[in-house]
Amino acid sequence: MLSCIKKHLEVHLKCLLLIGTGLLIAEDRAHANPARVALVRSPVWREYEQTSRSIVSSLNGNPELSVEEIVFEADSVSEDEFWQKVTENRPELIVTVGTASTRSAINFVKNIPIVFTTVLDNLESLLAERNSADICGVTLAIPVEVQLRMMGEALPGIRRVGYIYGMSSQDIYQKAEQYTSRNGIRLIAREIASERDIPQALRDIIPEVDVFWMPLDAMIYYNQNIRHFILLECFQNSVPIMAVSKKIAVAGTPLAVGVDYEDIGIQTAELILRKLSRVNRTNSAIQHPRKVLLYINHGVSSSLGLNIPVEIADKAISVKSGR
Amino acid sequence: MSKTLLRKWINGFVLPGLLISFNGLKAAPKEMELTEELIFQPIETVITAGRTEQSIERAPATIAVISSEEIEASGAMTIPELLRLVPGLDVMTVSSSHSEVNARGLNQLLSNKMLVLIDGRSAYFDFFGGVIWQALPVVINQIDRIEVVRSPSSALYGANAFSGVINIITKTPRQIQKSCLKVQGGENSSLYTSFVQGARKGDTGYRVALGTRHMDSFSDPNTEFEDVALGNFNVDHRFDNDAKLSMEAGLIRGTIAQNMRLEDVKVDATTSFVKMNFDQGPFTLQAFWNRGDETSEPFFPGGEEDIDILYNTLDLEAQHTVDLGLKHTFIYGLNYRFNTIESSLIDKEHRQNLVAGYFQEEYRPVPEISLLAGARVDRHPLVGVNFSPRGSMIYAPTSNNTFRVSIGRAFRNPSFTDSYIAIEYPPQPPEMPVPVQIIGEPDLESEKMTTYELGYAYFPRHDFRWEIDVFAYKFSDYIVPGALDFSSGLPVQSYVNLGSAKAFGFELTADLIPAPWLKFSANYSYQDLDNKYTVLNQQLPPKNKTNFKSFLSLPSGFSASFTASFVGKTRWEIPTLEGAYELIDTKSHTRCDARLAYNLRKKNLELFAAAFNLFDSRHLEYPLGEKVRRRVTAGMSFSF
Repeated sequence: MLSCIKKHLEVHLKCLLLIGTGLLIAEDRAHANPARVALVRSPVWREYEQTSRSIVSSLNGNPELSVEEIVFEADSVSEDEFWQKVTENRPELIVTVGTASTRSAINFVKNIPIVFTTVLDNLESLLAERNSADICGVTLAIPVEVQLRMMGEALPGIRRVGYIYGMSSQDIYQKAEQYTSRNGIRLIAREIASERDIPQALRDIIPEVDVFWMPLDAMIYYNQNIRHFILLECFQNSVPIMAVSKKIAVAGTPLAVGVDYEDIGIQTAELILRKLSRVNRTNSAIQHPRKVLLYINHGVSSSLGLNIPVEIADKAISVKSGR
Repeated sequence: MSKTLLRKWINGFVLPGLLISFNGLKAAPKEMELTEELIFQPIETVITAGRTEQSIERAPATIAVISSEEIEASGAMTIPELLRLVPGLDVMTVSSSHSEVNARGLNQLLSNKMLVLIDGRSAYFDFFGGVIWQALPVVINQIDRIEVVRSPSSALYGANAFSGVINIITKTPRQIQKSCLKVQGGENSSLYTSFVQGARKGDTGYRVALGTRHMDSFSDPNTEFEDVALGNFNVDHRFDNDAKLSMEAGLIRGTIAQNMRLEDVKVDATTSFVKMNFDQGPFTLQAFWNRGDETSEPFFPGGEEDIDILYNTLDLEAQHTVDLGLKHTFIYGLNYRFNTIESSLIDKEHRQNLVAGYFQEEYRPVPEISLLAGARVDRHPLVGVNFSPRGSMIYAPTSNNTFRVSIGRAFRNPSFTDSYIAIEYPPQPPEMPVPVQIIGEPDLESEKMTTYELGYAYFPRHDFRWEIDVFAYKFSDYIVPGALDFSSGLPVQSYVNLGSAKAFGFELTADLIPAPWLKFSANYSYQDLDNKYTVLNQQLPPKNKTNFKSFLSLPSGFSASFTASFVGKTRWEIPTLEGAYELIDTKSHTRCDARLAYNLRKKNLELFAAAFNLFDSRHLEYPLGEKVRRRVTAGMSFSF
């Protein structure tokens, strides 16, 4: 109940901030037409809709903005035609929700600033081809330090963290190694050549670790069999897993971090307003989620005998397996 | 060999075969993309509070794994009962307290062809080279898994891994993390109790296991066949530099009845062990001391003196793993084993020093292919040097299929009884009016076996798997009691390297999980042995065996299991009182076991009933053994 009230207060405060920023824009554009913003949402996933709704509702009260929401459906027409249609009304800003629409916009839209959101793709290579001054956004990638810090808070006293990574995750490994060594934790990591090596690597490190850290990795999260194996093997050996996303906590990991899509929307809306007001408050083209949630599957964590501090459990979101 | 050493061998030697086929419903794209869709996709529930969905064990071909869930669901009170359903394994119930286990047709009384390990420590008696299953100081409840390798494995283990390896892996303190009390009892005055407790605090963990077992004869309820008490203790500590030290000790004491060829004899035994393991990075050290002190009734009818056996085994092993890159691993090690034996069965006290060195190389030139080669050199004081090479190739052309081919050579050294036995078989008038001297033969050769295997596994999803393994082997220099020699006037029998045999066969296995709470497994084994190794060359193992298992585990707390196993006809060469051999068949038989349980999760209590040989199919599994009867038991398991 208290956490619910707290959440609503946070949302209202952020809306007030947005209204304030909007007023600044309004003053700036006192005598101009409302700024057109084209919000292009990638299809299929409910999470895109959640973010879009949050963006639209955050910007709705602003008379100087006109937001047009379009679903990215380049199957029916060519991508070039799609973007021609989107840009024919000369929007001042294009907001893309999701990787599909973002990639397409970067490739086909020139001369219009882009704000992307709800993206997990590695866009750096694409961003390098464009002038990064006119593209920025909010990624879903939760920083390594944040994940490990939250894991340490939920499981105080852990000394050894297990991690399996492929060659494409070297940077994550480096960051994890730096964080853990600064904080007196031992990172027991195994580099693997392919997903075929995962069972052996996991069975090697399980006896050595207090917790298995499972950050986002295509090799693991993409493959149902591997996910199934890791969850079972860790559970049967009483090793808790710290993963990413609510859905995997519902599947059976005791702990997971995730993002609040509504807050992502509000964060994106603030970025949109800053972009429109030309107030560049950050030099970074990519922002990370500012609000990271902790999910606890209490049934599984109790089975594993985990002692999660009360103050952490109270702030976390409780999930049940299968729901 | 330590638990860690065995794990590295299984992981390095044969796991790649299944790892390569480790892709699920859809093949992953060559360059897997990390997009937000990965976290948006629905994910199936794998674990709920306190239980997991049914799963198929990810074991590679010719390794069968019995998981802790299967162990618990079986209601088994002894380890051989758990092994009965493994494809390719021959499990023979001789009496209510005596079972023999072997692989692919080589089962016999006092079976000595399989290596049995408990957390990497050998559990066989060097005295006769076999295992007395009822004398293992391990409680069923503390077992995490049993891994069965059904092919010769001397390349890494040396002697006794002749037809395979059974590795019993116990739960770590972290896996236990509580106390568990179990009581089970029923017909045959059977009573099994166990208490297991484990905990881990920081870098130190401990585990205690205590148990008792009591069983009467199948045929005579007034005859006690087994009455033992056992216990073991383990403590481990992890140091800051990631080094790990563990110490373990255990003991079993009591009386068991064993069938010694012609009749059951009571054996009072105390077996104990102490073990130490030290791991640091790529280095592993293991040392253990096994001790056995047994007194039994005379083995032969008419014998007057009890038999005493006192043995000690000290085993030291060091191993180093060298990672030569992501695709290349090299393991090498050294082993020293020291045995002492004193017994009224052998001529005098003997001591024996055994030394061995081994290596194993794994190379994966491309992800689809894994090449393994290994070899071991063993030195035995009587036999000399044995060389055991092994090689295999695993090829996965697609994500769901794995092919495997392997060739290996194994050996079994003569045991102390084979080399030094010196006893007198009393006169058995009128068939044998004079005593028979039975003496050992120090000049025996090792038994040798060469095996060829082909395997294929299809594992398209986590809820379905099938595989086939085809094997052929030939062995030579089989050690058996020879014919009676009357040249000195009185009959003398000794041991000889008699002959050879060839066999071929295949094993089919399938697992299916039609619903998260239901699992079916079935396997069929066929073996055809061309016998030229027994005295009459007519002993034949069962040609056909089949097993079926079903497990049901409902969210409401009810669970049930039902298993059925069929074993074909077996032909035995049985020694007679005159010292000759006669042919006796044991008929084909089917045995069904069942278990029904209700788990009151909130009270951490489970109540269950288990029936072995549910339909009371009374049959002999060994001609001179007891007829196996139904045994119904009930019990409870309480965790706190």
